Parts: sequence; structure tokens; C-alpha cells
Amino acid sequence: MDLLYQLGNGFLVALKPINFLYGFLGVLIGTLVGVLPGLGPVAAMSLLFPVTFKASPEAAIIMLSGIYYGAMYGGSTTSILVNIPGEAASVVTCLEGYQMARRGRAGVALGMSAFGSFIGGTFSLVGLVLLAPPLTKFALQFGPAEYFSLMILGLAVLIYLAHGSMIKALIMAAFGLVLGLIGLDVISGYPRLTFDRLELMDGIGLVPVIMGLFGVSEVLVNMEQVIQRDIYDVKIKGLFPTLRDWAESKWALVRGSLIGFFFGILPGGGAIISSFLSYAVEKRFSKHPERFGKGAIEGVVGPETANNAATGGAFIPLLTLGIPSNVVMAMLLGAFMIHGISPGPLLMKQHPDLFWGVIASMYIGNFVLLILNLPLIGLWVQVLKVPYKILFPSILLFCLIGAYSVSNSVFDIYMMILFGVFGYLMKKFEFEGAPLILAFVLSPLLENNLRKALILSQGDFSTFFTRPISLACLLIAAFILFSPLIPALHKKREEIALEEAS
Amino acid sequence: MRSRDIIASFFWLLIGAGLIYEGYRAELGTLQEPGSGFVIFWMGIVIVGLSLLLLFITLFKPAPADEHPSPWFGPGLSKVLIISIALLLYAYALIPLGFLLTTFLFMFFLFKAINLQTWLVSISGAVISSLVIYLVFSCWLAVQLPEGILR
Repeated sequence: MDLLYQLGNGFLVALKPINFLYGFLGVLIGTLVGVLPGLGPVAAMSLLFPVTFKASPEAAIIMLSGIYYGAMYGGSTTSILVNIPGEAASVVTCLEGYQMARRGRAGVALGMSAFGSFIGGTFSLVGLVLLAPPLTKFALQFGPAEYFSLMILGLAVLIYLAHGSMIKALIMAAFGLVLGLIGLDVISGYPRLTFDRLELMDGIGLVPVIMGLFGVSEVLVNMEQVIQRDIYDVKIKGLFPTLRDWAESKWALVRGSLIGFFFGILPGGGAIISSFLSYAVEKRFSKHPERFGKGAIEGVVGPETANNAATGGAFIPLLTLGIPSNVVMAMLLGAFMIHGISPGPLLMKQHPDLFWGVIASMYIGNFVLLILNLPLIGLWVQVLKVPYKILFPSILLFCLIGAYSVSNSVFDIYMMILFGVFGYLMKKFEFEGAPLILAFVLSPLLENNLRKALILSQGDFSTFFTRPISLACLLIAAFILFSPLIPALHKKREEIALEEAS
Repeated sequence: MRSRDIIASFFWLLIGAGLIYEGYRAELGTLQEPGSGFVIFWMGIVIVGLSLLLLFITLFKPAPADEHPSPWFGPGLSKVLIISIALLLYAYALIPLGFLLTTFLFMFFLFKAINLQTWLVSISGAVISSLVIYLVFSCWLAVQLPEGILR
């Protein structure tokens, strides 16, 4: 009963006009960036970060969350109509979605993926509501050693899932950890890596780093290449699936919801990996696997359901443990901190309005997306036709103003440009930004817990190995990091990276 | 990728060495009480170790026979350089010239020089985008944007 009461309160918070407006704007902008190739949810969230400063913490988190799951909805549109994924989690939707469009079934593919997204998103939120309270109680047993080991596990998974060389991903994570430590040491007050610059005493801001790495560098890469878009120009009809479509998709919906939710919870997992896994499972379970690659509806519904279900799952580690499981959640952690709130086991008690308000807003957001997206698909198709040369000046301008407005400092703009060029070169040398960002955000927390654990154990490193939860996390992390040395697992990892890259 | 990986290894080797030095300078402390430079020092060691490993693997792993290295840069490299310089100039001019004028000039430059739009489109695009952003950030969000010479 208490759960329902809290959830009811959450709905009251989410339905406040200002919160509803921010949520609505979030899902709308999220869908837009999901539709537009070359601008993912991370970049969009960082661009709109400054817009949330004036808002209440509830409205800010509701809006940023809306961008995240809105982008998951929108990503399918480009995959189906243009064969270019709007964001990484929709890569696999291209395989069957575009084939369906070529066979005149674009409407069904778009409609069914919207319904699948709705069902997956709703399922994951029910899971979130049921799992979060017991997990919060469990998390209260965590000490510094457990937190440290859990963060190491999160980083290990993200490094494992990075494209290409794991050594490069490890270097990025190590560098990200150092970047996060720049500034005054909170314990001793010693300025670290500040090079006598006053602006660096408080450390490097999250916004300039993210805008540089994901906004400016993306523009630079896109400007260097000639982007060709081949929009499948056909009148979209029959958005509402028939009974036969539902019958063909029902198990894909169930499996996609389960896969997405549970893989979303895992640190480093999330929408991308669950969509790939869902596609593989659908192909394996299909009675007619020969239809795959020629427009099988289960191949669209499964991944689209999974990537939306993963968004709800991904909130669990952040809201209950205070640990982001992926880069988007790291951005949200940054937003929480900017508003002076530390997510974690105490969030539900200390800020029940925020905790339940955000969850309730996601229910509402999912519903809004469904009724918003089906009639607006024609509009999104038009948006797709906006040439990149018109878009990129606006993206750059948003990056500039966004970086400046965090602390009214030109120095932040220089930092953003520096990270933009760094991100561009990183892409040239095939280094990935995600491990760097996650490590950057986790770094102060990780160092703090490491030092606390060592002080409490009087310098005894075995504290990390004698506590069961910590030991389990470290063992799993070690297995993940050393698994490429096992030939079969190394092959599997390369397959995942190859599928994602293609 | 071979030459790129070798360059990257040396770059990270230097960064790692710098971090070891900085970490040591910031005081390592003891295991009982780790100092300010403890994590930085060890991360420096990790980066040095990993870059040596990357260098070792690159040098001793035979390159696949059918490997055709992709070109370093695409056809639009000059645009990348021009945009980077334009961004730096924007940051440099923002305080003395003010937000509105700098943003107008920056957007006009992107529309005209990079996108090769007509004068009318470039000017109207630059005016509209500068004003809209100014209204949203300055009037709605109350961000204090530099006024510069328009004060």
C-alpha cells in the first residue's frame, strides 16, 4: 500500500504543470535528436543542461530523463526510413526495419516499434518500482570498499563493451579518472594538476567535457565526411498493426521487455547491448529464421522493445546506489549533483518527491510518446530532410552558449574546444569517449571511497577481498577484463564490437 | 592503423610519465593514509604500462595482408580546421565584442563561408539564431551574457 501511496504522490509531482511541461519538452526533444542522425541523447542532454539550471531538481531530472527515453523512440524512425540509426541502440533496427520499408510496410514497422517501445518502457518502469525499494535497503549495507569495487565493475563492463582495442578503452578510463581529480583535493586542500590556473581549482566541468567530446567532435567528424542520406520516399500508411502483426510480435514483445530490463540494470550494459541480444534471440527462436534480413517484424519489435525497456532498468543502479551504469546515467548524476542532490540509497527517503516524481513522469512520458509519435511520424520524416549544413551551426552555437552559461566563464569555452579537438583526434586514432566520461564522473567518488576504505582498514588492501560483495564485484571485473585472453570469449567480444560498428 | 597506434602509444607514454611526476609531487602518502597524489600516481603507472603494451602489440603483431589503411583525414579537413579556428576566435572575441555581435559574426561566417549560402540567407539565419538564443538564455533563463561594445 505504501508503494502505491508513494507512486500516487509521484504522479501528483509529475503532473504539476511546470514538471509536465519540462517532461513534454524532454520527450519531444529526445524524439527529435533520436530522429536526427549525428546527434545522440548524450549530446542533446549536454546541450540542454543549462536550460535545467533554473528549473527545480524534479523538473530538471524529468526533462533530461525524457530526452533519454524519447531518443530511444525516435531512433527507430531513421533506422526504418533511411537505414541510418538515429542513435546507437537503433543500429540493429536497420536490418529488418529498412527491409520492411522497402516492401511497403514502413507504416507497420514504425507503428509496431512505437507500440513495442511503449510496452517495453512500461514493463521496465513496473520493474523499477518493484525492485528499487528492496535494492535501496540492500544498498544501505554497502561500505566504501563495496562502493569502490562496484564502480570498478561498472568501468570494467563498459571497457569490455567498447569498440576495438580494450587496451585503448582502458587508457581512456584511466585518463578519465585523472581528469576527474583535477582541482583542490577535498581532504588535504592540495591543488592537483591545476598548473596554477585559478579556473582549474574547482576542477573541469562536466558540461564542457561532454559538449566537446560528444557535440563539437561529432560536428567536426561529420563536416569532414560527405554525408549521404537516402530517404525511402514513400507515403507512410497503416501505422496501426493488424491482429496478425500483433500475433507475430507477441513473444518478441515479452522477450524484448525481459532482456532490455535485466541488461539495462547491469553496469555498462544498457540499451545497445540489449537490442543486439534481443535481435539474436528473436532470430534463434523464430520458426522461420530465413525471413530475417528480408523484413521480419520480430526483428524490429524485439530490439525496439528491448532498448526502451533498458532505459528503465538503467535507472536502478543510479537511483538506488548512486552509481551510473552508462554515460547517459553519468550525465544524470551530474544533473543531480548540480542541484545539490546525491542519488543513492537515501534518495528515496530524503527526496521522495523527486524519486517517485521522476518514475511517475516516465510512465506519463511513455504514454505521451505513443500518442505524440504516431501522428507526428510524417513531421519526423520532414525533419530528416533538413540538411546537416543547416543543423551544424545551431549545434555549435548551443555548445558554445551551453559551455559558457554553466559558470559564465570563457575558460569553459576553451576547455570545450580543447575536448572537441581531442575527441575528434580520438576518433581518428580509434579511442572511444564513453569509458572516459564514465570514469571522469565516477572519479571523485571512486577516489573518496578508496581512500576511506584504506583509512578504515589501516592500509590493509585485503579489505577489498574479505568483504563478500566487494570480492564478488572485483572477481567479476577481473574476469571481464581478462576474458579476451580466453580465445572463445575474445571472439565473442569482437563479434559484438563488429556488429555495433557495422 | 599501425602508424597511428605507434603515435598514440608514445603520446600516452608521455601523458603517463607526466602523471607519475605530478602524482609524486602532490604527495603519495601511505597506504594507511593515501595522499593527494596517490591515485594520480598509480593511474600514471597504469597508462604507461598500457601504452607500452599497445606499442609492443603493434610492433610485434603481424599486420593482416589485406589491410588497406584508411586515409588519415577525409575530404573536408579544411572545414574542420576552419571551424576549429572560428570556435577559438568566438571564445576570444566574446567578452570584448559581446554576445550578440560575436554570435552574429560567427553564425554568418558558418552560413556564408562553410555552407556557401546566399547573402540574404546567411544574414537572416545569423540574425534569427543570435536573437533566439539571446532571448532564451538571457531573458528566459537569466544567464548573464556579455554585452561588450553594445553596452
